[in-house]
Amino acid sequence: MSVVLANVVKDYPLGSSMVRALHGIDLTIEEGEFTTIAGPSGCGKSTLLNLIGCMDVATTGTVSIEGKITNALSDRDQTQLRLNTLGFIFQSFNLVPVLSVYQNVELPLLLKGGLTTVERARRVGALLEQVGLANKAKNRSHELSGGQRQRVAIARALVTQPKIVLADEPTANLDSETGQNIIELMRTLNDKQKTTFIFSSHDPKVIEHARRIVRLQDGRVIEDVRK
Amino acid sequence: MLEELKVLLLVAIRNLALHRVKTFVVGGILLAGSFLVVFGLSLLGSIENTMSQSIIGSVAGHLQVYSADARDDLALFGSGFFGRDDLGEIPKFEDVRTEILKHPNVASIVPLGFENAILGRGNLLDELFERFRSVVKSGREDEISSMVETIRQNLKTVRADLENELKIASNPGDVSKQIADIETALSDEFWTKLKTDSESLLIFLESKIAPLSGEKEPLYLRYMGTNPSRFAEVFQKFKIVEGENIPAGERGILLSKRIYDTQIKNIVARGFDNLHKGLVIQRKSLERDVSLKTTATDLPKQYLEVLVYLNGETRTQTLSELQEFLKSSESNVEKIVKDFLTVDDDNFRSRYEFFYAKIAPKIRLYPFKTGDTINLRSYTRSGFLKTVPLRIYGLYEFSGLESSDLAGAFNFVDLVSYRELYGRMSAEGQKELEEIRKQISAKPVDSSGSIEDSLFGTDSQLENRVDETASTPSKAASTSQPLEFKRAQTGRYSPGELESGLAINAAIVLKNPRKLNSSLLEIEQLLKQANLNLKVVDWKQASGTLGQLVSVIRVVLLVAVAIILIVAMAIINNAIMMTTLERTREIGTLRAIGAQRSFVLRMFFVETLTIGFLASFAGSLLAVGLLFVLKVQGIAAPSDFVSFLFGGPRLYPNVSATVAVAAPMFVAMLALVFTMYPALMASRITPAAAMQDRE
Repeated sequence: MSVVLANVVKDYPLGSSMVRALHGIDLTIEEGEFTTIAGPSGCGKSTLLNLIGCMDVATTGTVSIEGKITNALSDRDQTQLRLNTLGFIFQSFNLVPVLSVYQNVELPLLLKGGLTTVERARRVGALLEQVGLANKAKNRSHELSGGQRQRVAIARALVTQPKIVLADEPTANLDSETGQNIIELMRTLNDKQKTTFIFSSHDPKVIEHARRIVRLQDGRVIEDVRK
Repeated sequence: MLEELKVLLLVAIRNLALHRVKTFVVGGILLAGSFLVVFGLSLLGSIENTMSQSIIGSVAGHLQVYSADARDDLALFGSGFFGRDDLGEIPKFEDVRTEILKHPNVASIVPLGFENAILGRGNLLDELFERFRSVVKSGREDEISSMVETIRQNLKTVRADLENELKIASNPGDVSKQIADIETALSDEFWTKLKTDSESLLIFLESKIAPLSGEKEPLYLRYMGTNPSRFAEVFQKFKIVEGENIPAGERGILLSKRIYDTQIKNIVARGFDNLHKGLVIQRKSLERDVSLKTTATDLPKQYLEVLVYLNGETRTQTLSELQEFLKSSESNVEKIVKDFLTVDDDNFRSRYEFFYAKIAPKIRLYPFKTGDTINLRSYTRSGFLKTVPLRIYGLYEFSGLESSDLAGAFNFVDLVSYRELYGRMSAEGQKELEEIRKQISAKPVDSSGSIEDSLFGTDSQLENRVDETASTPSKAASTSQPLEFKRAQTGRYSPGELESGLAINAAIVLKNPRKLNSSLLEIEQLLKQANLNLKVVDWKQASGTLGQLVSVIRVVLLVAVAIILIVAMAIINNAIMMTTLERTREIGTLRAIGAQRSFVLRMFFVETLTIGFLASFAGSLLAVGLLFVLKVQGIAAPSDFVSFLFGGPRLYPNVSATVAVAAPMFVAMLALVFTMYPALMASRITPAAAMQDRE
């Protein structure tokens, strides 16, 4: 059991009142699953991913990652969990603009520490090979196309060999063909490395690539199917 | 760790390159700030150094001692220039000397005492009549008639003055009588006596007319009593430029070359000197410099100061030389001299040269010179006017401070004469007094003043002529005649007397000036143990307000720099805040992928430190570069006062390695401090900020 959410409620302040984004979500995601959180915008997808990604804390209920309840963790420990156990892929790629492709991918390893330059080079090199950007290692992110950037982001998310990779609308800023390629790439990696992938999307073409689809509406799970 | 630092540095440099405007602003401010601190402090340090050398090396020494009973603070370079400070006295200098020389760090101690004297400059008509007397004696007709003309011209000026005076005089009767005397002297029939009774004519002029022109403004001379040979040996900057130092056992005075040239010299020559300095050396113009303009306008008015020295031969010679030089047919000497003295920017240089080549040799450039004896008049402590005749042994100056009025403010006299002017008897004088007392079997004089005042006081024969005629003859005649005779014989004193007896203060020169502060305290302790009621001050304090000048400038500079830096830091703070806002998503992303808050902080710090060190050290380097250029070229002192601070006409600033390194580090650290807040704000950015959809 990679991720377990038990009766998770999340309220956001909006002016003087509170808006409930999630209404008691119960969800368990197994190791190695390739899951999509689907639903229209505003349904709570991002909120759910943020809670899983230790970027936000549930109002009530518990979120546990790899058996660890994250609600009570300090900022430091949450950060540590994000660094070691989780990988992130963003809708807008979020590469560090001043770094090269190689440096962007290497960054999490440097944050983590403990690896020699050679080891890091091997890992980064292998990943860039896998995402097909070995020849772009020295380029800066603004020299790449959207699809290429997202590949770099994927490589960055995977470089620490996380148990779980979270992707918030990873294809939203890409054309549909590129988007599908990206999902394909994620799936290949999921197959090879048994990494748990959880990504959100509202694009049916993307959603159909998932092995498990969790549909949200108005902060509630309305459908949970495995293919 | 090292790898992380590499990334941080890389991120920092890339970011600095990316936000060029911010980098430019922040870097520029830091560069300028650091430049200002390094340049300013180095310059001030150099000035403090040269100024301390000027002060220490001229009269102050490292430390000064004087009576703890002094009501005023010692101010060697003046608190109020002619005010008479009460500095108490050191009654027995020999005791102080013995105690202070016990301290291992004391190299030497020099007794001092300073005071202001009045030096009468004589009277222009006196000089004129004196010359007239010799001309009359020679019997050369043409000369006599030309001088008569000069005298009558002068008398008209005096008459005009008196007529003005009459309008406001409280004693119109006396003034009217004086005018009547002048009228007599101006009448043609008066001058007919020249043929018949020239002596009575001369006596009338000398006794009735000469006093009417009044004395020339008396000269105030600041003099310092000391042991001249020890002074010369201890103060390295002191040098005799003409004549010799006052020999041990002799009474005499050494005049400051500066005072000699700027106050005693013939006024026309001084006018030429000042204009030469302004127009030729400093390349100013009369149009733009008010004080030069005034000097130039005044110059022709002083024509008498030239004319009075010209007689028959030199007069005609000057006339023809001037006619040739000015290409003029003017045959009146007065007019042609006036014409000559009317200078402007274009003709000045050639006239200056002509003056020194042709006119100066014919006139008396200085009223007295080395070898002459002058009467120094001063008020004793008990308030009596006292006069002591002193031989001028020579002229001195302080090396490097030749053009400084401050350094050249003193004239040196032997301490024995100083004590006499101060109203203290020398050992010789006391013995002499005893003898006189025995001779005339006088009882000690009981007066409000001290004994010697009643003996050598105002009615001594050493006073000038005017006083002499005014004084009542009775007492003066009986006491001053034999005394004067004796004194001429006993002008000498035993050299040991210089260092025993009264002094006002004393300069201490240390072997190791670095230990100044500790030595000061130890000497204070020594004096206390010896029951000597004295205080010890360092050269800075002893020099008066001057010594504190650099400290004041430094405070002003530091305050100015502090204000600039604070404003600069506020700008930097703001600039970083702005970029932090721009970088919210980037920082959020870093946090999301596992960067701790501390990493974000470090990222900002490394960035600030990078630009901070680069810019600050560049600023420092620029300052050092400029200082090195100035060290070779020197900075010209804009005024004579500044030349004292500069220890000479140019300042060759020293570069302080400590300042050059410490200042930019400080500036960089300051920038770091001001990065704290924005960095802290940045570190609070949540990882969720990575989700903000902005690209």
